[in-house]
This record gives sequence, C-alpha cells and structure tokens, in this order.
Amino acid sequence: MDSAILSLLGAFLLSIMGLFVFIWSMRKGLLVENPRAASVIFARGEIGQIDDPALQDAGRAHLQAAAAEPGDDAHEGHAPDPQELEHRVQADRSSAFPVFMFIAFAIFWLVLGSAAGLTASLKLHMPDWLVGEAWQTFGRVRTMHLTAVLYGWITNAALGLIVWLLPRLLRTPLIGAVWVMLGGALINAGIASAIGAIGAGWSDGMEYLEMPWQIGLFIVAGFLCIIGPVLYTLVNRKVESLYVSVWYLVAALLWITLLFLVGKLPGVHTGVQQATTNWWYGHNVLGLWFTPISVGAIYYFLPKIIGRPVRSYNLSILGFWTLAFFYGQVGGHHLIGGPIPGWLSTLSIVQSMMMIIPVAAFTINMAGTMWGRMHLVRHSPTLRFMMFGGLMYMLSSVQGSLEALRSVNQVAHFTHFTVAHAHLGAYAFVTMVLFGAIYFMLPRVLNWEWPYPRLISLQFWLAAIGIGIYFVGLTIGGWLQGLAMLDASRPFMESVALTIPYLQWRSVGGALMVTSHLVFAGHFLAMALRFGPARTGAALFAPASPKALELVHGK
Amino acid sequence: MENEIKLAAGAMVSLAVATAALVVLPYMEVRDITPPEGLKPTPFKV
Repeated sequence: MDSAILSLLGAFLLSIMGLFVFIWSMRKGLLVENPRAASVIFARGEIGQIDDPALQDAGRAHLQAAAAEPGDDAHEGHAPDPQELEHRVQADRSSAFPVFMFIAFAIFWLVLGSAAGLTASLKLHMPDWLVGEAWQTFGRVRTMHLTAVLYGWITNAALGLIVWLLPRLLRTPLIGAVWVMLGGALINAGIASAIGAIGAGWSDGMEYLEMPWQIGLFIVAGFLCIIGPVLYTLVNRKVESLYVSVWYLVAALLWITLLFLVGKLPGVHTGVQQATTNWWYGHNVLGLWFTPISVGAIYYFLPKIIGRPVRSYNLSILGFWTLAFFYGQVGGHHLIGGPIPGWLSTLSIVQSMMMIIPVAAFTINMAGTMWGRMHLVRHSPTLRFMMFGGLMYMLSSVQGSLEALRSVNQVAHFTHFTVAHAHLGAYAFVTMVLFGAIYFMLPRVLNWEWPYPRLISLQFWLAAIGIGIYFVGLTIGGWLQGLAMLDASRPFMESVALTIPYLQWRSVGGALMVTSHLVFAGHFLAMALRFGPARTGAALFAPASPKALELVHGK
Repeated sequence: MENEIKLAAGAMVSLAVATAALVVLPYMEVRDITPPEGLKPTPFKV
C-alpha cells in the first residue's frame, strides 16, 4: 500500500481513538476541575501564604501584602499544619547534600560551557582568532560548549531539581541518597571525560551524542544509580495523590535514560537509520527531558510562590499526556528534504503542529493561575524567572511548530535561524526556569539566605537582555541568510557575508549572558561560603538553634 | 492521579511509539535498498 495512504489511514484511526478517549474522559469526569489535587503542594492552612526564599523579610512582607485577596480574611488565624511542615523539613534535609552537589556541578559547567559558547560565537566573525591548536578550532569548541551546557549545566540542574522536589511532593525523605550521589559522580566524571575527548578529536559524530560511547557508559550507569532511589522513594511515599510535577519529573528521568542508552548503542546505528535515530534522540532530549523538567518545575514553583493552587489540575494532566505522545515523534522535521521516507517527514510535521495542544494547555493554565496576579512579579525575583521561562516556552514551541512546516523549513533550515530557535528553547525557557528554581531551592538546602539580593535582579536582566539581543539578531540574520541561499542568482559567499553584523550582535548578547553567569556563580560561591549578613529569615524552616544554621552537609 | 504504574507504563508506551515511528519503521523500509555502485557506508570503527 502507498505510504501516503498509510499515513492518512493512521491519522484517521488516531482521530477516532482520540474521540473515544474524549468521550470516556467526559463520562469519568476527568475534565471537571479538581482543586483538591491541585492543592497537594500546600500544607493545610498554607493556601494564601506566599513563599519565596530568595526574598528578605521586608520583601516577603511586600509580596504577601500584594498577594492578599478578599477571600483570605476567612482563613486568617489558620497557621499551616506544623506536622506537615515538619515532613517538608525532613524531606528537604534528606536531599540537601545531593542537591547541593548537583547544583555546584551545574554552575561550574554553566560557566565553562558558556565561555566556550562565546568563544565559538566570536570565532564566527573573527575566524583567525585561536587557530593555533586543533582543540581551539570552531568544530571542537562549539561541541564542547554543547556538551557542557546540555549535559553539564541543564542535566545536573535538572537532577538537582528532581532530587529536591520529589521528597517534598511525596512528603517522604529521600531513600538512598548515597546512590544518588554516586550517580552524580559518575555522570560528572562522564561529562568531564567527554569534553576532554571531544577536545582531543575523539567523537562519535552524532549531534548531541558526540561523546564516545565508552564514556557514555558512565552517564548511563549514573542515571541508573539515580533512578533506583527515586523510584524507591516514589513507591514508599506517604501521600496517595501524585501532583502533576511528579509525573513530569519521573517520566523525564525514565525517558532520558532510555533515550541515551539506545542513542549510544555501539555498532547499531548506520546509514539512514543513524540519521533518523540521531534526531529521534536530538529532539527528544529537548522534548522529553528538558521540557518536562522545566514545565514540571513551573507547575510547582509558580503556584507555591504566589500561594495559590494551579487553575486547572486536569488541564495540566492533559498537557502531560499530549506532550508525551506528540513530542516523541517530532524529530523527523530536522530531516525534511533528506533521504528518508516521505511519510516520516510528514508524520513529524503533523506531530510538530499537534504540539500546540500541550503548549496551549500549559499557557491557558498558567494565564488562569496568574490572572489578576501579574503584578506580583515586581516583588518576587524567583517568580520573574518562572514567568519569563513559561512565556518563552509558549513562544519557542509555537515557533518550533511553524518552523517544521515545509515552506518555512525551506528557508530556515541550515541557517542561524535554527540556532536562534534552539537558544530560545534551551536558554530563554529552560535555563531561566532552572535559574529561578535554584534561587528558590538553595536557601532551603543551605539554610542561608542569598547574601546580596540585588545580584538576583542584576542577573535576571543581564540574562534576559542578552538572550533578547541574541535571539532577535540571529533570527533576522538567519532568515536573510536562508533567502540568500535560495536565490540562485546570488553567489554563496553573499549569504555568508551578510550574516556578519548579526553574528556580532550574537556575540554581544552572548557576552551579556556569560556576564550573568559569572554574577550567578559568584553569588552562589558567596552563599556557600557564608558571606553576607548572617540572616536566616528566608530559610523559613530553619530551627532557631545555632547548630541548625550550620551547612546541612557539615560545618 | 495516584498510580505510579500508570505513569511508568504510559511513559514507556509513548516512547515506544516514537521509537517505532522514527527508528524501527524507517530501518525496515530502507534496509533492503542497496546503495548505488561505488557508494559505501563508512565502516564502524571502535
């Protein structure tokens, strides 16, 4: 049978199945609001109380006053349940050491990886700079940047987030923290070895999977060491209901382990199948690892900061399952025009457009939750990062869906436009959410406030303006590049030369982003080394005794 | 949602569908197509 007919038949059957699932969900009441499930992140009596550990006492008071709503009067005098708060304290303590380790590694790789990224960016318009050694050439520096930020920064920060959030959401201390730390050590040994190997010219040559498979074994072993304690804690939890963030975080951890394992199988992937596997992995590392981690984080932190449950819990579940089903199949749009079966490109384009459903579910839910509360971003730096990231998720996903269309892809493919889009997703969305999450988590991990709160705002604006300049410049330059390449009457070199001013703007944006990372890393070091005034106000659950002010992992 | 089995099973099924569509089916479709004369895939090296 013709492959086009098979595709249409498959789409028809899926639509029929979708209709039946919809009818079934209506009968089961799955689309009815479920405020009880949305409130499980709060202790009894806690709804209406803001929570931002990155704020000092005065800032918290301002945020609380700004967040007050008329209905809150009825709840006055109801303090949060002390027993539930105690469970949260125990959960935080059980994960503090591994979380600190993951975040410390993440920030180290962020600084190193973004410095490599800026170097690669500069080399695009200063090609004679740093050419004396092979490891300094663009191909290796760019790949070292990629490995350091994707695996070193985002993956470490994501693992820290999982290990910190799950015990909280499950109200159960982390079981097997030693195994988690062993896993973290293996993963970071793998990342360091991978960057060294790539610098030395030893690579497997698949995008995002450049590290040699022998080194990839460390990463797989590390993930397995972490999955065990996470699942064991999940099974032995003290709560019945699983909040939606748990779904996103646990599924993401399972997905990335399998994706990486299959992607790095030696001697299996060759020829056309290697290319399709490469983009099955390449897009899923974004769609089934970075995205669910960040979306899961927003679903926890945003309601927690403003003290209000998410608007529609069931809409968040719909978003999860549609993301799980559609996102896994979009990778083929990277190979439009390539020597792959035609139905595969079409399938990936259709599923790319279907991604509008989970993105719309998320956006409607967040807009509903923040409706009438947008002014709170003025008071909370953590909320600012979360809202910025959430908005960029919508923009990058919608842009990605449109970019998959053949007419757009024809211009944008093989240009800097795609690079701008990748940074909109990985930086403006994912990285900004992770910054916000770290600003929230660390005071609870270290029992110490951020010593210089103004640096948080400074870092936000440096990063936001930096990625803004980067994205706008590179998007315009990339589109013009694509149009020039499609015009047979223009010489190829013209398509290269016209991008130079935009590449320079990219370096300006990149320099601002690197500066923001240095501010972030310096602030982190100052906090870890106990610089700044000896305040413990924002470390909400710190007991009053001086002993409790010691670092959770030692004196 | 209260069942972790549904979570793990659903996650695995969705990934299996994606793997079938993007990895297995393309492989089955092109595995018997021989390359043109003189064009050989690069041999795998460890």
